[in-house]
Amino acid sequence: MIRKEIVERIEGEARVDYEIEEDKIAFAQISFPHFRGMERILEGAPAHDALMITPRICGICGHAHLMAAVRAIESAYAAAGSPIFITPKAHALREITLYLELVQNHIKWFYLTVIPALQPLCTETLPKTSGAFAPVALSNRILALFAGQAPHSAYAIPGGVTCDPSELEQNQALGMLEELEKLLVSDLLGTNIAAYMEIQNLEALTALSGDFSYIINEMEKNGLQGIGQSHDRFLVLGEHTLVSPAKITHTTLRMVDNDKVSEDDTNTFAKGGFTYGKNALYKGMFFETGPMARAMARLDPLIKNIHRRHKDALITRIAARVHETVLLITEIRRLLRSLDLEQESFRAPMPISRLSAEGVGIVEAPRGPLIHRVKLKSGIIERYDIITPTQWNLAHGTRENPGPAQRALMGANPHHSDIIFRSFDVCSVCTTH
Amino acid sequence: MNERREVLSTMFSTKDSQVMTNKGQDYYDALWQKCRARLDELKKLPIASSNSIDEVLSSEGYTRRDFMKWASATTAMLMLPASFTPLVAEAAEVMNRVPVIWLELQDCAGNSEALLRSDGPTIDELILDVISLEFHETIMAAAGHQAEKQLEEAMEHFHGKYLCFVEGAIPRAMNGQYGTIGPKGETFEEHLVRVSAGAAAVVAVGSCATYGGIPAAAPNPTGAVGVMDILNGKPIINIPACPANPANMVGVVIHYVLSGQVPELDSLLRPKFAFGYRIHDNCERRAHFDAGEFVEEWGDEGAKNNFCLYKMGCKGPMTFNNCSIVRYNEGVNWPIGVGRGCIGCSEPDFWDKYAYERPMADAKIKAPTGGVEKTVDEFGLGVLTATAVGIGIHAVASAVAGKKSDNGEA
Ligand code: SF4
Repeated sequence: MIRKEIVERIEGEARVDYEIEEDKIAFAQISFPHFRGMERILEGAPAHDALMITPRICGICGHAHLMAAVRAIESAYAAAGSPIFITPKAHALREITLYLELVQNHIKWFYLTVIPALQPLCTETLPKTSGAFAPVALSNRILALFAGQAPHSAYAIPGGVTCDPSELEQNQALGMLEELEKLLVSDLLGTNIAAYMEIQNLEALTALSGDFSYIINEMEKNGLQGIGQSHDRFLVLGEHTLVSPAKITHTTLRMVDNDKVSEDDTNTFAKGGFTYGKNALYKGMFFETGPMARAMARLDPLIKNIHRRHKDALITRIAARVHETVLLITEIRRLLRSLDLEQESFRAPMPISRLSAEGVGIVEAPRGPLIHRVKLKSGIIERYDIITPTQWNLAHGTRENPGPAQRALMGANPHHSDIIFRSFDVCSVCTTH
Repeated sequence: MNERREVLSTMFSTKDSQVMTNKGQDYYDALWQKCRARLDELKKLPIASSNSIDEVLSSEGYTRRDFMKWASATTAMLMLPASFTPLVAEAAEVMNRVPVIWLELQDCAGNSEALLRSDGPTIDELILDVISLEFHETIMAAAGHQAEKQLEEAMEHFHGKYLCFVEGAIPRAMNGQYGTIGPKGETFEEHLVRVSAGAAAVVAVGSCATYGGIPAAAPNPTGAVGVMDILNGKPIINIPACPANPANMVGVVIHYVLSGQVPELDSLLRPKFAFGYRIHDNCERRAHFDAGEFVEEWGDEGAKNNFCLYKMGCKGPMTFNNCSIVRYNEGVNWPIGVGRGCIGCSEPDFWDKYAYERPMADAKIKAPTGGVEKTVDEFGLGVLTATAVGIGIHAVASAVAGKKSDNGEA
């Protein structure tokens, strides 16, 4: 039997056709029916236009696109022998705003995607989805303080950032961050941040009283903890203050080589296929990316503890993402406090019109590595390639070699299809760009 | 944000910057009566959404007084006399009787984002919470066939009464195959035509739905166009900008609830209350513009002192929108506030002509107000003269300081 279903409408539409045999999902075909042609739009445009256009690929993780674009152009400067050194302040500001976007994505995903999808499978009433609004609005306000607006800011430019915050903004941001922490402490975590940071195993986590542990407990009570396991292979490609690139297979960490990343378009309409989405591969293999991958790369004690018991199951995926939210908040505070406001926001690089080189910018976006590759000739874009996180997680493989989300769905109870699929958090507007 | 919006009342009552002339007491008296009657009618209708504004506001810790303050600011934003304030408040209270169907087409979901994400503590966003969203493709929990059924039910039940909000462009190339939707694989164009057929009015939210937006950027690979390029014979209200400001979405809904009509529009079908004046007219850096003090290079002394961004390519002088007043993210900030010039995101073709830091001289832009009604035209001309003066003074200053003159793209 084949059940066709449009599973996800957050951030555009993805379509999944399930093949069901003997009450189990035998295979799932994932396709993305929308296309805008962003890479072609960028060809022939001045390099700096990428800073305005690429954030508009996505209304939910556009800031990650901005950071990837600016990193790509800066890397082209380096390749041309004219490297750019941005000040620690500019770097910290970029990390702060990027992390704020991650925080709001994570919270929104937990409350607006995970909870509604889990509800039909749980006996108790789950926390209200409206729990997302206040913390999300706060994260965006702090982001806008430095970046001007959320979504779709373009405040980062090769050489630094355009904003020049004073102590006033720094304090305002710290104040709002404190409010945000208070909300998380009272609703999400049920304990203060310091106490939460002590937690290193699943038991201690489930003993808490916030929405996070409530969901974890409900999953265990309703026998959902083991579902949604995938390849147990993870990939992190972006370099940040919280995580470094790594490839993890069977808990073994290895270095990565960005040249081993490739795209496969055999399933696309252009090649007679059924989707606009291309697959992303590392050394020809599928890897799961995102918060769980980052937790494994960070050797995070709590997530490793959950992973030891449940491997890369739904429960680990959910826990890793909520857990990362807390780490990000702590890191944002550290970075905000350490800002040296005397430093320059921007240092002028060589005029872009003299730049002919190739560059690559990699950022850990909410759902995993986002890669922008650019080829510039006299400051004009000759080629622009974008690989987004969902191209990793929702790659479409074969029965023998399925993509991460497909692998997690295969063999699952059809009633669990929705939550398993959504746990990978589709971003279809990014995928097909 | 309320305080900022109150600036508007002052602005509209000063003579030299008047965008719309006062229409006279008789006009407003008649309008008041009409709105009163309309609200009384609406009150008789069954409630479409169960959220009541009072509950929602008090659960977020807002008092009646806060709400009335919001109402008076919104009245000012809609360019109505203060006597309409109680009506605006009532309109917000009966808003859940006006059903809204929200369609998401070729987009980045940034406008639903702007709406959803700021949903938290501001009154504007809470009020959007109360709108009776009968169908929203992004936030609908239902999927596939079930969603399709709900959509059909909503369309039938509210035939001729619902507002159809559209987010995203419509790709027409390749027979519309760049964007299909729903279990039947309908193209976006078919979907839009079908759903808007029974709508009282269509509201295009964001620059993609208005003009085609970023997907329509050269070479427009998917043949993307805006709602007004497709629909005929339907009232259309455009709320461009990328993303559109939630305050303006609320403004349009309140206006509709209040009067049963679309607000007064400019030639690009944008409500004049929001797009009747330019970024530049109320920009916080305007004094520097007039004094000829410009940022010459990112990060220079001028940048540190918040000088005008005109020479860095700011498009504020030709961009009609109210973000210099309403700002973004609950009024926290806006692009010019962080030293990034305006990119003109509420104007047609901003993606090709206005983009990033190309100074205007290089941006192949026609007269800023081409086609926009006369009052705005004249208003615009006055300020353009000031532009010339500003630059003139600046050129002298640059020459004295021995700096290189501005020659387009850095
Ligand atoms: S040119 Fe831009 S920065 Fe300068 S005053 Fe006008 S809107 Fe403001």
